[in-house]
Amino acid sequence: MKRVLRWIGERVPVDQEIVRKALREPLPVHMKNWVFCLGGTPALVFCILAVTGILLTFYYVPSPAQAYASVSNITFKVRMGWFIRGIHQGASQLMIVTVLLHMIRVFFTRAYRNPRELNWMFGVALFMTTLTFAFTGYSLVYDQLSYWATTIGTNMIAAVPVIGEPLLYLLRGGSEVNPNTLSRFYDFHIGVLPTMITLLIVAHVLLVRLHGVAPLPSDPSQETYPFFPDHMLREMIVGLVILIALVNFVMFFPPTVGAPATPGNTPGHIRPEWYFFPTYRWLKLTSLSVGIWGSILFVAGLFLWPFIDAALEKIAPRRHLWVIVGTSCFLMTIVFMLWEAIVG
Amino acid sequence: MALGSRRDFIANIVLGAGTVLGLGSLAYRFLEYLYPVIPAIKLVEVPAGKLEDIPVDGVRLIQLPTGPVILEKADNEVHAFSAVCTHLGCTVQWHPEDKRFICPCHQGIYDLNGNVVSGPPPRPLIKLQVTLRDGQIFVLMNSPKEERA
Amino acid sequence: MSINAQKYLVGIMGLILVGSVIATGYLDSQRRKKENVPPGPEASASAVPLNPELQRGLKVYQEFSCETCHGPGGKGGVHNFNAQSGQEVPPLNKVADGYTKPELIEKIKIGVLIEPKLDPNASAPPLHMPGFKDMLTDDQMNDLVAYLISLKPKGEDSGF
Repeated sequence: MKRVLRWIGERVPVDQEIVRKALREPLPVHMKNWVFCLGGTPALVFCILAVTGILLTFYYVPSPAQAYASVSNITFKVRMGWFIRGIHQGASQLMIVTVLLHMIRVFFTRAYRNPRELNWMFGVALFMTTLTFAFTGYSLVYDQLSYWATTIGTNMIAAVPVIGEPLLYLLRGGSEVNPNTLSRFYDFHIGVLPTMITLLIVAHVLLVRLHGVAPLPSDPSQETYPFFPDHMLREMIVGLVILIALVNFVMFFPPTVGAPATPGNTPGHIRPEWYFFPTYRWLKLTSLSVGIWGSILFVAGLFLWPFIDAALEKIAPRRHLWVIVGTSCFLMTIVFMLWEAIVG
Repeated sequence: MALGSRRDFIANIVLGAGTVLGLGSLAYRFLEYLYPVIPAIKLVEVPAGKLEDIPVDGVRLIQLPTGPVILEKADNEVHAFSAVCTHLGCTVQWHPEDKRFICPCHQGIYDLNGNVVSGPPPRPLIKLQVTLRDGQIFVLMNSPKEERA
Repeated sequence: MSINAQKYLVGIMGLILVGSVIATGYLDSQRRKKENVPPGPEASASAVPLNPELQRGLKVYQEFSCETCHGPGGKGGVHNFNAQSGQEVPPLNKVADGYTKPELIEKIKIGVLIEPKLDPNASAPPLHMPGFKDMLTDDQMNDLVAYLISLKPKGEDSGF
């Protein structure tokens, strides 16, 4: 093994000391808490999604006439097709959950403060990209839910002032949902978005490594422990838990397909996926323009939160306004989500 | 070996083996998913037009769902060959002026009996079994209908 | 937890993963249909019919998503769990034998609201034939039916 490493070392002229230092990077002991593994978890789930996603493209056909049949083929005819599709679906839900949990953790440990504001913004961009992935991915199944969720979702974009309608035509590749739309959503899902998210992930992780892990406000000790092998083993354990959970979940809850898309015929009970419930409920409560503006402002607030937090600190120091804002936004989101889920 | 490092060694082996086996089993499933189902090859009788459609002492090159076929008529007997060049699979073309089949890809040349005259093909054209029924020609061919997945 | 203990944990979890993955194999053979594709020199599904009425009918067949369930060329093969029609959406390429033209038109207009179950205790089939009464003009309906009737495989294949 040492000989192999030496062989590589001669041909990749990186200073061995730097590599050793990076691997043994001392991490503050608060990181031993499993909650702090929530950052690496989405990265791992993303790898699972990328691999299963690529496998799916071997049998999926992105044309309106054949999309549904190809998904049906994968789910019922292809050897282990249900497995690959099930893992991809399960992992996509898990991705959203883990990104959200990571965001919440970072928020409540205030790790976004100076000098890490830029990284927070990259993080929010990653979150938005994840949601877009989920939206475009689901539209590819071309069953009733896909088709109508795409129609409604893209119509919502048209309501954005000034840029809405041209943006809608760009997304749809036409004025109505048409064969171009499916191609575009497919290309977003397998080309544009993966490129974007890879760049964002690299930027995000690089910034974390360069800054070092954010110190906890209440960290008493200066104790550390090394990244390799201690933290890496923790991450491996988390990774294996996720894999085992996904594999078993898919065996008990294999994927299915709904009724195929019928353009003229909206089904009685149409709803987006659960992660869009809060927005959906909000839009149902308000007029279209208030709803859209509210959503835009919320997202902008999320992006600029480190600066808003800094301003709040100046206005009312030590009043912990950030806790109030954060908790109330979080609770509102949960309330809307449950409201939509239960009442519908 | 000191006791401590032997324990470490075993732990490393367990770690390595577990990880490799775990990920390897997943990789195996992925490979299973990707590998196409090769259906068993069955012989089918394919209708290939009428006897009178073949020009007298001539050749008819016909595209059937199971592949391209050469039909030759000689003394009310019909001979059939697969028109797939035995070199690398292109479809040969009939040149009546030379009375030869020539493959456009690498200029393999066959005669009326399917034998190789010149060029790279390693074997003669495959001869196919023909049945005549009421002036209707049937050729016996392999039919591995490759469906999607 | 000591480093070595964590390593053992990873190793054991790896083996649990292997076990789970092996179990998926058993499930797989249960859920998939047997490979049973009968070969045959049928009329190619992608062959575009020459006459304009059938071309229009093919367009209707594709644009109204008939193809997504009944397959290209009406070959069927789309899975419909627990449906009496062999757990699949029925193929359409032999409708010329079973239906007159007015019967076909009626069937397409009304659809089948509830697909009959193969096993009454299992869940209902997810796919059902929608009714296209208000979705097709008379001309579109006539073209579609003409196309469906033309799908019956012909006995002979001519070459070029």
